[in-house]
Amino acid sequence: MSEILNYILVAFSPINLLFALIGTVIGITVGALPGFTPTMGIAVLIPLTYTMEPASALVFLGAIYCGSMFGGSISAILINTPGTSAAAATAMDGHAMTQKGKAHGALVEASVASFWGGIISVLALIFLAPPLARFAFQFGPQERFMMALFGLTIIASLSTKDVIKGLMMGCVGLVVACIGMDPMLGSPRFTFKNTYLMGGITMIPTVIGLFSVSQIFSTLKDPVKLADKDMIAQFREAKISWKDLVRYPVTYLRSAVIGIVVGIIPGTGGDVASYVSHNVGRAFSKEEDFGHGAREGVACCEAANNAVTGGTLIPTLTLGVPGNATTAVMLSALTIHGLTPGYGLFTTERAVTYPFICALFLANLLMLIIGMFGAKHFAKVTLTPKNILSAFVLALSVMGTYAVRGNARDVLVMLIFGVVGYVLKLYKYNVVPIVLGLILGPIAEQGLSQALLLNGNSLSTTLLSMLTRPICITLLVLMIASIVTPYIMDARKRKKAASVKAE
Amino acid sequence: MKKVVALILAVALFLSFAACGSKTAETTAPAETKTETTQKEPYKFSGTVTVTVPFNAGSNTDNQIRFIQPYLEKHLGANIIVVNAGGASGVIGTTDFLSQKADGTNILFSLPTPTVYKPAGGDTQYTLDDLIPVAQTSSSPFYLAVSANNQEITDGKGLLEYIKNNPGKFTYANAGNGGIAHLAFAAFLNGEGLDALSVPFTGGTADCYTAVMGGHVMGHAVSEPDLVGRTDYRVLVNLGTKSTTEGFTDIPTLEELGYPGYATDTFAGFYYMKGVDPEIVAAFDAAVAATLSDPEFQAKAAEANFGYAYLNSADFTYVCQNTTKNIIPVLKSLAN
Repeated sequence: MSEILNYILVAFSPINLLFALIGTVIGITVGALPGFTPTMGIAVLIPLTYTMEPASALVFLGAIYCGSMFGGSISAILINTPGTSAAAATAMDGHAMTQKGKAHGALVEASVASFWGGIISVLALIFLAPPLARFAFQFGPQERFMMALFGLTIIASLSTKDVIKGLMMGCVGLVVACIGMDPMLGSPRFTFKNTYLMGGITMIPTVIGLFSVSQIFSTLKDPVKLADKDMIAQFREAKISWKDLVRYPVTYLRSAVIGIVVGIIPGTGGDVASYVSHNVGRAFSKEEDFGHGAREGVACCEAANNAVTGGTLIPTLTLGVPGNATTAVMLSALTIHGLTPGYGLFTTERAVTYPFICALFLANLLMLIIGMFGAKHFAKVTLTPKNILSAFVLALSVMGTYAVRGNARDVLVMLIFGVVGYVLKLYKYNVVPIVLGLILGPIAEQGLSQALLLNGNSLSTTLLSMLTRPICITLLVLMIASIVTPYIMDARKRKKAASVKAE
Repeated sequence: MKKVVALILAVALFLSFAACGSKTAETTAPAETKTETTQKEPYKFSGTVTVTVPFNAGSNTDNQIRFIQPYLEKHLGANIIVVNAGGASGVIGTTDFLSQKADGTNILFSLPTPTVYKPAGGDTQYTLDDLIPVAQTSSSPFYLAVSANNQEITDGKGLLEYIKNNPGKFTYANAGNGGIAHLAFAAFLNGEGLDALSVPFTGGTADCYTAVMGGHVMGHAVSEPDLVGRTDYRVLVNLGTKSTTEGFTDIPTLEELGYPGYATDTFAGFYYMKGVDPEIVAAFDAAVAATLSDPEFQAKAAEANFGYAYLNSADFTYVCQNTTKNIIPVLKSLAN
């Protein structure tokens, strides 16, 4: 016990506290800026840590990682421009809340849910890391295929009003995801001999185009309106109560578990976690407008994508297998500071690892404080007249898209998707399934192709092999539930409405 | 009043974004062109040199250049700006690099995938001849490893026997078909008429490792840096040149197992585009040589376990050309 206390003291030493604070602020900023990824932030700042003590260096980098996951939600909620692809799902409910004048509530909820997601995942990292890391091994090609399919069933719940339109958009996403290098053959496909297309259509330009640029086009036709008195009054009244800290305890826990599991599996990250958690949350939520401005929707996504931080660190620290690109960069930082990932980190090198984990706690706490008290000020962005805000958002979108890898053609892709998104929204198509197809298509394709390859290219053997795997069966059950529940709920709602009318 | 505050806040927000953005804008601005030197003195660099890394920030290649950067700047006498231009296994960044001015201020730092392997496969709009290999900075072999829990296959000999006796049964993970890790083993199998199943994982090392440890595939064709510190793997065969790295010297090469002529290594190095003055090429090469033999650099490299292996322009060119020559027949027969 005294040993643990000692580690906490190291983590909370003034210098480490300072690094944690600076790291969290940098993380939130990097996360909030579209196109500036946490991976980039950490990669660029690693050289700064060369001269630091290993514990301080890791505290600093860990704080950036935690902060960035939350930061992404700020721009998603306020200007519908997800700062990171993990925050794309948050924009669904979060931005809808902003449009309803509840930006402050959405931001507070995002920071609270992020806090709980982060804290729960750090607890998992401390107490369950070794056994959970082994769990990741169970995810073979078949399991990944099923998981991606499960993710795609979210389309059903997103489009209860018009399934055909939802499926069409999902297919568009899957087709777009096919552009680039064939994952099995390693040769180009649908690239028309174009070098740029060999790299595929990437997430950030597509998401920024579909979500943010298309909306800028929509606002062009709206009359210019200044913030009215009611809105300003709302900000004056915006208060934080103790109740806000634990509004949805069950949701936080459930979403955090989803985030941790998704984080542990290499190749999947915050984007998958938040969509899956949002979908699962819908089945449990009592809020009528879930998906269209429900506070609980924001909680689902943010708790899940922040839980991914602890989740991805589990295989990184115990096995030296990074769960995503960001932790891959963290891993190289570990080695530069002379630490070898593996069980040793939890035994012989505890003196560095445990302060690091304690500092993640601290980073989450700082994030909560900054998020809750900053919400009021961040939310003022919505008071800016729409025409001025749109100009800023467009400039920011162009800059962010370009910054990802310094390619001007990404900006062109973003603008094309902006126009596409605008036209689709005019005809009442939901663009979220396109993003889902783009995220999950490659995971599903690779999983299925590998499973086929390992089963002698026989479809029947492959399908049978799935039915003998417990994780696959669990996912199959979840999948069916996910397709059916929205319809049952819809029918129930209609019945209720009908009976109310009859009375 | 509130309106004004909101407007000011919005402006401040934008300015702070712009301030952050300017950093990247700066890195991509064209470096100033230098005046031609007419004297016979060795070429001198000045101002800035832009190094294009055709992979993302934080990737293995990016980490290598960022490690070398401060020392290379000293010996070059110029500032270095690293520009990450990832995508399509480095082909996008390399294609863009080739469209830049051949005045010596733009140089490429890359692994062989986009410079040697992809052009050899005919997937690119350029060939190796469009590039001038300037200097190699590191080189390391590939290995074939299985899980330490594998009871059946315990050493290199056992592995080859297993593959011979069970055609097509041995499955091995690699980071992508047509990539070096895949070709390192496939070239050998192909040449000896052996049959094993390649299972590509585009997620890279982490994906492959999970698949091996979970028993979904049997082996893993993997690079040396990715094996350092891995205790739950049994490394069976070195698919390249004998390693001098501690812990890897005892692993038998294919040649030692009786199959010479298949060694495949991965190497990182600098490339200019065709048309750069040979004097500039020689000057950059000399600066790289001086950097890698700098005691200060060597001490730091030893501390951080950073591997390096210098080759001059001529030798590096030979390595690239020889690799291309050897790999073309393999790619052809794999395509059939």
